[in-house]
Amino acid sequence: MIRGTLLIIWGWIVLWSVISGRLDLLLRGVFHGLVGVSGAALLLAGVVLVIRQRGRRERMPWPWWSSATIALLVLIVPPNPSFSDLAESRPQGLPEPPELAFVLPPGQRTLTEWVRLLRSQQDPDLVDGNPVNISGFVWSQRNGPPLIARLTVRCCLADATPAGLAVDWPDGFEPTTNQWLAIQGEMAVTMRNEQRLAVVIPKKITPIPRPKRPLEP
Amino acid sequence: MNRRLGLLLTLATAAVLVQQQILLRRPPRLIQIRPQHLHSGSAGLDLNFSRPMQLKTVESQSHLKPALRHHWLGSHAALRLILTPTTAIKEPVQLHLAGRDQRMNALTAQTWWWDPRPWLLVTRDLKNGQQLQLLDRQGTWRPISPIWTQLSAVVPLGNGRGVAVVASDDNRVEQIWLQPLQPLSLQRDRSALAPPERLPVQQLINDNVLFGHLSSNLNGDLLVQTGGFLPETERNELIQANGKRRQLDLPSAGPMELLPGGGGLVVPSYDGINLMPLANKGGTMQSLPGNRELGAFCAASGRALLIRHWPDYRRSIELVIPGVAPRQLWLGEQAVLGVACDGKGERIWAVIGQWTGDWAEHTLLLLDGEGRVTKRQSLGPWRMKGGTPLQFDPVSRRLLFTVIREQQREAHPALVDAVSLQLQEVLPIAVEQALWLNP
Repeated sequence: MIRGTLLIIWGWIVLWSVISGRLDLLLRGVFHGLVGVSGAALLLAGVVLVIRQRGRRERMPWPWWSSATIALLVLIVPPNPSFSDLAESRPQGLPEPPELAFVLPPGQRTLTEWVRLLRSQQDPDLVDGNPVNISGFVWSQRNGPPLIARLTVRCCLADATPAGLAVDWPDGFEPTTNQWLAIQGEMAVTMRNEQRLAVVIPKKITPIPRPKRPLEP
Repeated sequence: MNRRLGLLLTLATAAVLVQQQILLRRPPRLIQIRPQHLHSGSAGLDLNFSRPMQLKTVESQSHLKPALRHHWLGSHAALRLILTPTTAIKEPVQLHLAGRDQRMNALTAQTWWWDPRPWLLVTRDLKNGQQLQLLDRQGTWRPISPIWTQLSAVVPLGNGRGVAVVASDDNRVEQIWLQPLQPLSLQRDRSALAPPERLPVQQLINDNVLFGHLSSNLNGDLLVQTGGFLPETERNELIQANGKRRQLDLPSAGPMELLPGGGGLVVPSYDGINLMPLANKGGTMQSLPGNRELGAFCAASGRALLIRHWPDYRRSIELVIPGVAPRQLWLGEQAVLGVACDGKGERIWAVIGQWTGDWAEHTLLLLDGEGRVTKRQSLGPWRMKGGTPLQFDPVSRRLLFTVIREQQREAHPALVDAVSLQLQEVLPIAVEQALWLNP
């Protein structure tokens, strides 16, 4: 009976994560259906177990207690991950750039497309003066000013790879770690650490809420 | 058994440790060095190393002779050298390459000779037909292809590894050929620097065609647009630099052009021109309506020059930056015979023509990115041959085009200083057209 109830709780958490959009913080949208089906299967298994073991008394060992506690905490406490911390601990290699990125007008490129373009075509002067219209979170750096960044995933947060762009933050503006910003401006070339680098010169910075789907493919 | 297993494991561990220590101490190696035509300067080289290098040490320990202005770019194992000299490059460049990897192991110092100057390629008129020839550094014309009856189109591959042609015979039947070339502009010894070596010619399309149009990008990809003798036999085939072929199902109202940087192409339609990605993933076509034609690309910056034909027979030259409305640089009643621009579209050259009696007087204009005419030079007694291109070479800072003299039928290659617009040289050979071939 208790085992069945636990399964129902976990099944509900999985299903609810899909419905409420919490899963968008963990997994690419294309896999949400699969997770939803798993939640429904857990829920169904729990119901079957409860019906079969109706009236039976069970002892509840401590791992079950802890599982139930974790399940309740997951339900009660909304997730608030630090993308900046995660980005700091992840490798930097992005997958090969899609050909499309080269053809898109600069003002329509996403932050990830900009990073892919600059990594594949490491000549910042080629994009000097191009208009930029991007959004991302503030990624703190141990050495140097923060970047504006996005996390790209193939599947889920476990394989997340950060894509960050250098920003020439205006005087008086203090970017807060993990804060989401929309930046309009243009690309410029600057010397940082004795190296030529493409840097976003913001003309307008707008704080925005975390997007519903913050992870990019 | 246990002892044997233990011994095996110990040996394997020792082998791994020895290998690790050898690899840790092994100096970095240069894996590949090749000219890169996608760059923001006058010329570029791509270098790939066996392990991540320290850019600062490569920058400080390597040097060029003559000491041209340059900068190093890149990270990890892939670095790029961009030449940004303030004057024209008139001789091969000696690159002394040295540096350290990120473990501070030194690269074995080495010297390379690099001639970044493009080759002057012409379609030469001969008694028995036409032939591709190029001018070597000693001033001798070298044949680099067989003789065809007539060459109706000549397109050098952007990576300098060949020249694609549309050849036609006396029956007006056209064939598509590729004359592959082996560039020799980057060598360990100066004496090995030479014009590209001619390889066996290849027929790209087996069937005869009614018409053919060719376009290449700086990666060396080639777009072959052909039409057969029967209805609905038009074909668009992309032959990539690695030899792979791909059919493109794209409706067009005229000749298509590949973008120099790769990834897309410009497709004319009946009511304007469209910019389309080569990988059609959801169709993000960008259209520009109006009676416009593509004039020239500004190297790899994504900018281009368009020639717009107005209903009142005027023409304008427009600078187009992707995602931004075209900027009109010039408007007039004269014909626009050719346009060219530098990498960033900051300097624009145009040949405009006006009829005076029975002779068209042609003028070369130099405009800035805002459309101001900064210099103007009459081409008299010459005029630019219609249907041939005007091309800018950032290495020698010269313009190349094909000219005809009054009351003469033969056309000649002409070289003009891109800054002063002074005619430097008209080469005394009869050609159909003259082009730059990347080194």
